[in-house]
Amino acid sequence: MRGVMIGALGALFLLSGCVTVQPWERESLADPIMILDDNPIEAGIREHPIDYREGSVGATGAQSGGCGCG
Amino acid sequence: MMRFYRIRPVPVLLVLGLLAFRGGDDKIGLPAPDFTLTTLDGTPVSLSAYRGKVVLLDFWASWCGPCKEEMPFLVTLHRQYEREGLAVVTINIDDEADNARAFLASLPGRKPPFPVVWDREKTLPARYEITAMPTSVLIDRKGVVRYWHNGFKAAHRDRYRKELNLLLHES
Repeated sequence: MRGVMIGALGALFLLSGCVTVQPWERESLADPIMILDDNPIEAGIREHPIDYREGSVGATGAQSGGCGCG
Repeated sequence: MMRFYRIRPVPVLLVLGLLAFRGGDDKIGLPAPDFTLTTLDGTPVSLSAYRGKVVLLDFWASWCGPCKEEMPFLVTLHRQYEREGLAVVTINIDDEADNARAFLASLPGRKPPFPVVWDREKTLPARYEITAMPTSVLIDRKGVVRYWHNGFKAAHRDRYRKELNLLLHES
């Protein structure tokens, strides 16, 4: 029970840091460096068509996700 | 006997999602919020100064992919409709003005012939409540928002022209 309480409090603490990033606030997020990969630019290029095909634009990182335009 | 309906989450979420992402439709018919900001060159620009003209207000940034495609099209529109009373005013929201300048310098042709306002504090996109980058707002001669474009798609070029023709020729 105590463990659950601590977990819940921890989750609350972490979730309080969540905000909605507005389309005009995505300058840093749109940078290829935000992609977790050894070669972010190549990864961005690779993911771009997948994003479109899967209808998941913006789900994985920068490039297409940065501007919120699809 | 009472009947119970199971709430289907997918349609409910879809409807809620659509309500949340009206993306500017609720602004159509309302006066465009006025502003006075300075351009990248330091010249002050007020929206109210363009009363009597049709204004294409465009929000863009150097980090936004479709903006690269859109900017040359805005230059084309400006050249095509300027004499009929169109004023293109663009709002850049980069953190660094140099990034915007580098973007403009990389465009084919000369620098844009219209004002490029720099809104470093990003107050204007918040006031207009834009939901995508770029966003183009078409404002009529009376200062009322008439059309709203979220993002830029090359296939929508004719739509811009059709809307501008309507706005430029209404009395």
